[in-house]
Amino acid sequence: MLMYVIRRLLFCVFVVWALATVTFVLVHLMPGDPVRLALGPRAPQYLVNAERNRLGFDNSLLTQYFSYFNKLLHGNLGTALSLGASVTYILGQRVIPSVLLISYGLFIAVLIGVPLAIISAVRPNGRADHGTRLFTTFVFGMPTFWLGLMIDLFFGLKLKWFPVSGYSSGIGGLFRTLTLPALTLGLSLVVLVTRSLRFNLIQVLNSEYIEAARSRGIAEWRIVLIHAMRNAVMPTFTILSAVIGFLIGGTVILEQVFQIPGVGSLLVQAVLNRDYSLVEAITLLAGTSVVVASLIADMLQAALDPRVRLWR
Amino acid sequence: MGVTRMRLRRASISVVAVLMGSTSIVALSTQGADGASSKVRSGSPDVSLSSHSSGSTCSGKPVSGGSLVYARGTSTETLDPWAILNGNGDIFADDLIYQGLVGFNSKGLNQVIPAIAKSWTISPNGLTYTFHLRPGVKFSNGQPVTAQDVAWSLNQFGNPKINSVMAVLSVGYHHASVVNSSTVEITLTHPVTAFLNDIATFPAVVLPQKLVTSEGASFWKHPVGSGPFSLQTFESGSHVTFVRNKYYWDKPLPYLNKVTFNFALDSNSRMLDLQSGEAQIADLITPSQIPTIQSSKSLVLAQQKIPLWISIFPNEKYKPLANVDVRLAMSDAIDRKTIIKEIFHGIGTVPNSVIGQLKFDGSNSQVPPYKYDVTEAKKLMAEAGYAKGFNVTLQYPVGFDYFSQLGLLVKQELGAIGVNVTLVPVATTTLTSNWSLMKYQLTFFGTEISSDIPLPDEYAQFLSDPTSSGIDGFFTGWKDQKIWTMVQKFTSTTSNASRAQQWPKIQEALMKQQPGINVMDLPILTAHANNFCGADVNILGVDQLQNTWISSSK
Repeated sequence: MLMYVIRRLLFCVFVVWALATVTFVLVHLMPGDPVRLALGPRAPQYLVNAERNRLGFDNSLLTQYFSYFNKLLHGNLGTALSLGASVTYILGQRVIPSVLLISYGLFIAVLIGVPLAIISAVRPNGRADHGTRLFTTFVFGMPTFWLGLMIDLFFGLKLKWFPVSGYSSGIGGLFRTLTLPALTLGLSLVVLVTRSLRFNLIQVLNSEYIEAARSRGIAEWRIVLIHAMRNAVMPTFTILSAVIGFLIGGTVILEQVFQIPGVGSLLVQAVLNRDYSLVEAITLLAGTSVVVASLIADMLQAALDPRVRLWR
Repeated sequence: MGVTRMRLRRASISVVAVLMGSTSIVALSTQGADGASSKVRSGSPDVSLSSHSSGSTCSGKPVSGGSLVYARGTSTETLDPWAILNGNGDIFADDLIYQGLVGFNSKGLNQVIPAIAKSWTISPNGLTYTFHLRPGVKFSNGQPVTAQDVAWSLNQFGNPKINSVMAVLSVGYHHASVVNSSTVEITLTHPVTAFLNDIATFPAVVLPQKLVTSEGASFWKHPVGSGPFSLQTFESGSHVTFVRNKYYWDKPLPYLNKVTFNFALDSNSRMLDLQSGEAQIADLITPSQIPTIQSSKSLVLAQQKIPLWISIFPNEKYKPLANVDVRLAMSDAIDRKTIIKEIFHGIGTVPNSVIGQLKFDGSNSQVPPYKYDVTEAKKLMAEAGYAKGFNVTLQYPVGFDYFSQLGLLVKQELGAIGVNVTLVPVATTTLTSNWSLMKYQLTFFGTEISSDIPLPDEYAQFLSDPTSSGIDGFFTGWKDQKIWTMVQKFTSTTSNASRAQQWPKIQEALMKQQPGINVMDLPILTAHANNFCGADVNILGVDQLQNTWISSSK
């Protein structure tokens, strides 16, 4: 197990390095001069030149690349040109709302999706199954922007159960301000949970050992919730872990609709402002999250399912 | 929306100050409104708060107390007035907590008024301004504003290494010195016509010298100023909250106890905030939201005239557009009244100037407004040798539904005279970049253009200065020596009465050249709750929240 973890970690490092390199190249291919954008179109050219020189943008791409990696290895993510502060400081402020939103959203997705999947799986092709599949497909097909606005309109504006926008810290504040965006996110992810879990549950519930368990008189709820779920749930975790990384930057629409000061909206702002340091840092963060989440998911799977061998 | 506008504002001031610094002018702005001939439209007309809902409950005297939440479309990124990062997002916040020697009239009149200075005199040669400080002015921490603070702050403003983003406003600035405990003298290197206008804008604020120098960069996390409000909390990306400055000199202002700027970058979010009552005012109202607001009994649409307009720039490096008849033809082919009615729901006016509504503008009887005449347009195209038309691309900012509509309408209208337009949607930052590099044929200039000072000097020089310090006809390639001569004379004239006579002639000359095709003049739009009273903005469109109060009835 230890050797497996070490090998996976080394692989993670390689993936992260590749990601950082590709991001660096792509960001520098974007049209537009970040210094000129920061100082405005009619700033004196000497000022632009001086700033470019100070920031090292006059150096060759290779030199800039090595400089970037050197700083990265020392934990220095650089300075956000468009915000006038260190990237680390800005990310530190903005990553927490995003993490909380994603976590809450995933929780809601699981909270809604798992029961629906069980209901569907125990009576496949029944009314409940058809209804569940119809509901999840319908919700999945709605654009997130529209879904968020509708939820906002109904629960926020009409019922006034929650504020229509904003972000507050503290347990009470987080519950109040993150519930609607998390509900939107959760509903958009429910189909992933429901469909994958339903499929696996049906497979498992039709297997011989489950029949054997039934024949021994074990209660159906125990069979489903304890014996079948344990085998069926792992692929769902794997899928969700892959989605997490996308959500780091993928919640930008929700952040805009609900005014959550997260990483997604920061990424959009950084791209528009050609803020190389910020774009590189956020992309690295998202990619690393995917890699780490995948590793954790694989290790969890091995821990839960003795049939899984992570190493040879 | 507005980002491009404010980025331009920041940079455009760079050039204007360089250009204006080369003129020898004695500023004549003094206390009180400048005089203007009765024939001359003031250009910055008296404020006309034109609401489109009769539901306002503002009557009686202002009431002190209450809190206000402002759903803002641009976030505040820094409270350092000498290093703004996000245009209006920073400027509007700075305006609440800081104050300078002078300011702009808070009711929207084109007028520089006393602030920390109660009066001033100007030497006959225009090189020395002597400001007499108002007694008893304090910072929000209770410390008195001293002459030393004033002199130091102005010298920071005048130092391009400190005030780097808006250094152009301090072109001509030499030095400020303390004469006595209530008098500060500012000397210039050469007379600057708009000096008082320049220091009425936000970077020329007065700050406590000892605190700023001792705290350094951390001062901006909890700044101290002498404005009507002081900072309470600042959550980057989320909101910034201000509380009433109990030491503010202009009693009984401000009326409000607390103001919160919620950063709601999405226009739908701002509208939801307003409709739910979580915000009492929202800015950057889009045209599509106008009918909703106008039909609401609890909301008021406020529109106030400021120098704000939408323009299409033709790049004269593209041969057909170098022909003045072609430009005039294209202008005549645009049905502005339909655009205003159909896209902007009647908000806006047909302009009579290439560069928006500014001081000294001639009236419509002096300088006829743009007309819609397809027959005339076709005739001009034929005279120009383009009877069969030509192909051209038009870049427009992506992400704004009304610009998509506007682009389509312009395409259709220009198509009627043979100009085959290919619409090119472009991100606003790329649009600005393309424009400054002249990588376009036709382009909208960002979303809207606004002038940084309420005088025509800035944009007249942007467009017409052919020298190396100019910007190539505002990156259109347009040149006209005769008009440049007129502009030079105008900007060097000391008499406002004479300037009021000269400017309409220049205005008319520019209209005959169309270096930029003004599509429409716009008011600044905000929407607010019907019990939100005192919705004033100054001549540059900055909210004057010190005048705001909340009525108890709804």
